[in-house]
Amino acid sequence: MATFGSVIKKVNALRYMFDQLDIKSSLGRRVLLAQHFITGKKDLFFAFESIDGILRVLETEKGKNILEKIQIKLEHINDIQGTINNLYRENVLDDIELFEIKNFALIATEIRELATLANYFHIEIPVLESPISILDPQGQRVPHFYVYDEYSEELSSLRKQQKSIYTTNVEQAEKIRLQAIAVEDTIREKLSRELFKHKRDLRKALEMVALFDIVIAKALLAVKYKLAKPSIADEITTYKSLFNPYVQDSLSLQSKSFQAVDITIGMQPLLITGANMGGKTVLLKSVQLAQYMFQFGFYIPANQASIVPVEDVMTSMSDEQSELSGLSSFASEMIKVNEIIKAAKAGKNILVLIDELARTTNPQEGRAIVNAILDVLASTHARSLVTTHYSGIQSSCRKMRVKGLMTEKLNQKITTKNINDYMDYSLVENDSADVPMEALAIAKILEIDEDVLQQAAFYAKN
Amino acid sequence: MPFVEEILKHRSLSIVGMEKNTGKTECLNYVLKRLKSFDARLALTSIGIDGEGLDQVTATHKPEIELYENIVFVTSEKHFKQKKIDAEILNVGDRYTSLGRLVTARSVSTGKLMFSGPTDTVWLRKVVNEMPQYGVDTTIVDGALSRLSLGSPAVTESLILATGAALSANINTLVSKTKYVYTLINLEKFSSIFVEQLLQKESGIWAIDKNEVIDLDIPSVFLLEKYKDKLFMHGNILYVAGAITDKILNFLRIQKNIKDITLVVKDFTKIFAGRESFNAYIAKGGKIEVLLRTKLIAVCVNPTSPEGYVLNSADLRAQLSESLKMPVYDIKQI
Repeated sequence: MATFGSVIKKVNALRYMFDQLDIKSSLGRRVLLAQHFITGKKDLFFAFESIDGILRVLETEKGKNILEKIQIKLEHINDIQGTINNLYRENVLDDIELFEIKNFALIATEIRELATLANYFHIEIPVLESPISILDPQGQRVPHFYVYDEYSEELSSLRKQQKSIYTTNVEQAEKIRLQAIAVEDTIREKLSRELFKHKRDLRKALEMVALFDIVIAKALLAVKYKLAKPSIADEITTYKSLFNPYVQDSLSLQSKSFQAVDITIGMQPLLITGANMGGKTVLLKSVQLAQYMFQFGFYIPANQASIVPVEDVMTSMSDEQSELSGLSSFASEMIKVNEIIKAAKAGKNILVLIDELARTTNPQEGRAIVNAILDVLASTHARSLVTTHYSGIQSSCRKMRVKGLMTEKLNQKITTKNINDYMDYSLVENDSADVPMEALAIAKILEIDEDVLQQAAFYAKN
Repeated sequence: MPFVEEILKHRSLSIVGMEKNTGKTECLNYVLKRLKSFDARLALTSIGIDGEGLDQVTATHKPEIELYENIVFVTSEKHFKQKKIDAEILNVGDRYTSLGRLVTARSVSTGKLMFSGPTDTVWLRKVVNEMPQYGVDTTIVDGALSRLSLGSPAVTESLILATGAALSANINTLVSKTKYVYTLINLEKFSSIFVEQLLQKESGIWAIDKNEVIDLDIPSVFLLEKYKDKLFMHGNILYVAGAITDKILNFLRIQKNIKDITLVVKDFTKIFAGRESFNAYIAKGGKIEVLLRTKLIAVCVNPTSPEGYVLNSADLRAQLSESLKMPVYDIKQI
């Protein structure tokens, strides 16, 4: 099963979301990167509710202050997984490891108390008073540690003796020091044994602190991008005003805006046609991003989202790096699509996203391939979204098209710089098998050679 | 002992030996012993030398430092575990050196331990800057004048130089070698609004004009001759982020505009060039300035060489003091 860390390596938009996350601890980052794609409804529900809870805390000034304090605490958390593993193995812990446990337990407890103060109970850090008291014989609750005199009268008196003769009788002092070390070792052993009883609480606390870090970061991301809490659907995935923060941010750097799109995806394959530059690829990528964000427990870049969980997201997109080097683009596309078909036929509940299927071969056979693949996908449990330039697709799928160039504005001066303003990226039902003839209009905007344009218009008519 | 009081006026000090066995450790132990009576709140760390192989060679040589109670120290996990002193752990970092993470602790008894520390200058600076949060007034860095060390003692405000017979059995040679390092330590500080910006550069050759820092896009200082046309395109003030070798100084010395050239380096430890090329460069009118300048507080000498050869301490001190125009101390004679 895919982990978050493996998916962000191939999905740039999700990587971008990860980069925007303000996770405070290396512990939080490690846990998020190792997180698996969530398919269980209960787990998804918990993920969204825990973010929702943080957002409610953020509604008040007091809550905001508390969360800021928690984030400062999280910055001081060290990832003590290795130390906890040693505890599980019943090893005797050394001073550094004992320090790590004490330091962690104190900070985790502070976070726990702050969360209670904010009335946030979705993530429960276990009470760690017992491990703390084991490591804090002076009862000072400061995150420092050594084998204190308080642990043993014998140790205390050996240390005093050693100190009193340190300069006068070096040899004897060294002997006493070795005796003291032997006593320290038995104390470390005893402390490790006592901590062993609390190993589950400590491990649980580590997981919960990591989760806390991740959930706060996800909630702040939701605020930053106005993400929506998704509902978990059974049959049909519906997005109202779906957007893509990755594309949106890069457009806004060029002072352009992103047009959000409404879309529904059901069991019947959805075929999308539309002009070049019509945003079909961006649409597929937005759907891909939204599905991944949903199943890694993020809020969704849309005004409203109701999403069906799937077992996997499988794509064939033109800019994906081909692992099958040495093959033609057509061959590698077909092999990739075949893997999708195999998974779909095996009955897997997958989301299939195919961009401009069979685009690199001749239109006649290309069209036939599109028809055939849509037919086969229609007979499986896969939910698919396929884009094409080909007209005359007969397969009985749902067909929609991107509205494309606003024809009423075609008389205005359109350039590659402002074409964005004259494109309507929304989807409309498209019952006919035809695709809009806009390629030449777009070519004209791109200021392609006049002779070419005239000749092409001539051929298109005849 | 005058210079011990001087130390406490600075937030940080490094103690640097010109060569192994020039008495750096004795000097450090002496300083600590003296500071004890001042009731100063001190921290101690060292510049680590990274790399397994090196460590195995040097680890055997690494002397232990004796600490008294209530000194904050920073050392690696490996050396922390080998300590012969009781200490309360205050913090464990999350970055790794080849000897493990850095442990910050406070001594609760008298005893000895070995030091290793941050392995680069930026990290060392960060560690030094963290010390006040543990109530520390002055941080002492056990420094190394080594080409192998990425950490430079020049990040500290002040410096004590340890020199001695290990460098040369001939007093004249010893004096002139020490004088050269003294000259480098006292190079003028480059004054510019771009200092912080330049400190971030890890490699390359940069021109500094009135308004900006420009990357000259010269891949290596070894290719200077090939890129001669580019070199002075943006003026005569050049920052070399890496080391200054004989070759660079010799090349610049023969340029027509030598009298107008100011060569800027990060700190005095980046000058690997020998005395002869340095002096020749300066004699022709070339200038060298540093981004980080540290104040030399004292020079200590160890008249005994590791082979057992002993120079006359009084003569040595007198000649050095005459040449450097500053007091020179023999720790064992005080």
